[in-house]
Amino acid sequence: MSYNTLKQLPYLPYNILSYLAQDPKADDLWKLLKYNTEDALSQPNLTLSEKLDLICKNNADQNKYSIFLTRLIENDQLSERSVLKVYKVNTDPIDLYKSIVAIEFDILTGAKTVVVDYDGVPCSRLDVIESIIVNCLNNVAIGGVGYLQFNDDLTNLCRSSYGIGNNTSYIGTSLILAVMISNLDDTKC
Amino acid sequence: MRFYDTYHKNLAESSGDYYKNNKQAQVDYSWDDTTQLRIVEEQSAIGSTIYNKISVHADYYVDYSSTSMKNKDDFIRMSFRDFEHETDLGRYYKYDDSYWIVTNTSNHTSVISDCIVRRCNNFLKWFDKDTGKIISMPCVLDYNISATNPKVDKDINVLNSSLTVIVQGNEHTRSLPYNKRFIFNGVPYRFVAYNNYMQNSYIDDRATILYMDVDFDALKPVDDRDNNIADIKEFVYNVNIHENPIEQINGFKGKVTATVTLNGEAVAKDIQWSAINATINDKGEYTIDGEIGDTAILTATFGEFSQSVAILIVESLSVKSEIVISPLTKELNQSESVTLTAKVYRNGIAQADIVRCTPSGAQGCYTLVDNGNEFIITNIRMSKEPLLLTFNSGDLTTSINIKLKALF
Repeated sequence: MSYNTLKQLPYLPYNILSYLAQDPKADDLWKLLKYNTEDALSQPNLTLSEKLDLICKNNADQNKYSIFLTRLIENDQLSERSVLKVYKVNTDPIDLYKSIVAIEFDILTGAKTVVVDYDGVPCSRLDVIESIIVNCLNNVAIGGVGYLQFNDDLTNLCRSSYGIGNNTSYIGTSLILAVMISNLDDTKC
Repeated sequence: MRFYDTYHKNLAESSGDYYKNNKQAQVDYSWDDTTQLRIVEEQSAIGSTIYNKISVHADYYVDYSSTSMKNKDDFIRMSFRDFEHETDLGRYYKYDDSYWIVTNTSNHTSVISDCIVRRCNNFLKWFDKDTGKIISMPCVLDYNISATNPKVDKDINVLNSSLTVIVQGNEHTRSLPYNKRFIFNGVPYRFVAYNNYMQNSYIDDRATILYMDVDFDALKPVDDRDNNIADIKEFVYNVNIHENPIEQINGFKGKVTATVTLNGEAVAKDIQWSAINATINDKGEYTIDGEIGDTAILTATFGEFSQSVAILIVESLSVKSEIVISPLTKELNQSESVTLTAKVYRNGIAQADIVRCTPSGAQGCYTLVDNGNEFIITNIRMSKEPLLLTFNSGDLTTSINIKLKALF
């Protein structure tokens, strides 16, 4: 086995979002990101194209997008809405051959868009999004050696912490899942 | 007193009118007898591209002894001959190789009609991605730069500064979104705030002059620094004319079609057709009307982007055949499909010949459905190797490469 080159590392956030875009269990996630009203979950499901249109790459007008592949959003926000950031936050080498990669999901919403009707119960949009992400991605193959997990045994970075935001108009939760990566294509002993 | 009352009420001038009319007559009499006479061009209305010549009296407005910061030649008090002449805040004038913008008016407080104009020292330029046009609006960059401290962080520092931009409030500028970026002489700024609430009146609720705050912003790879247009490279438009007639005879009637692509994908946009040595309508139907030896040029235009085909006008034709593929797709995202139409053209006229398509490369990453000269390509998985499609009909052959890209 060759030494770890982190070859799969760049693909992880893309693989996660591709999985979420095509998994029917995640349909509510996309509705919660697109519709900022209390009845977001009563709105029609998004098409694949509408989901992908929410993902920002290097676009100048970042306010048109709700999903980012980085922690930093440069443009000032003009309205209260929901935002999801998916990015690699930590790489921990276990040994020469394997590393644990922690992926952070920053879930942010406006202070006056936080409540959503969830099966008839008013709930925090942040909690609903968190539960959908874990429900869809926990123990799922996204390109690592093992599965993406919400598991303290994999790394003690795995957790959900409330309190990100700007203390004025945005509040959020930071959720971390992790996956092991290694090189498996070298068959030499 | 009845006669007097009637006369006084209906015919006599009021004192104010009497004074004003006398003053107007005096101005008319001596209008040309001054060193302050200037001929300027006045914008016919806010947002208009039409300018009309008008004579004015120009006088200084800023006394340079009051502050050495302001250039006296950047401010003019402009008086109009006709006391009834009105102008608007934000209206443009052209004079002395510059645009000037009205920053003060005195429609209510002065007998004479005058205004203060300030010289526009730069242009607000941006690319309108919906129309494909570059919009350029004269503007004033105020003298003061504020907040020169860098944006400091433990990881990296970025320069910081703020400017005030004075520009006309019209349909283009009033719809500018926040965070829109502009480049002034190679330096980028981001729009953060403006006073679009300063209405002219409760009847005319437009704000015809805007004071915009812009913050210094870092240069980005999508900026065209040479032409001072920010973010323009994010939107790569191309116009592709599908047919390629090389030569034709005078009087020939044909049709050309075109596709507009944005970043490699076909988009629905209106195309303007124009022609030299031919006539062409908005459907691309043309008639060659030049002389033998001339070249007819047919041009498809969208915004700032265009493509032309040149047709040599000949006495008689040799047969020219080709396979034309439309739309000319270069990229396809995962899970997307495109329907390619392949036709044989003989001297610019579509034929009913059968065209076959042979794919190669990108094994297992696509599906291809042949519907008889219509081929539906679906990207089922991204591929590092492009998909090569070779089209054949008899002796004719042509090929295109399509990059099978990721989901997003």
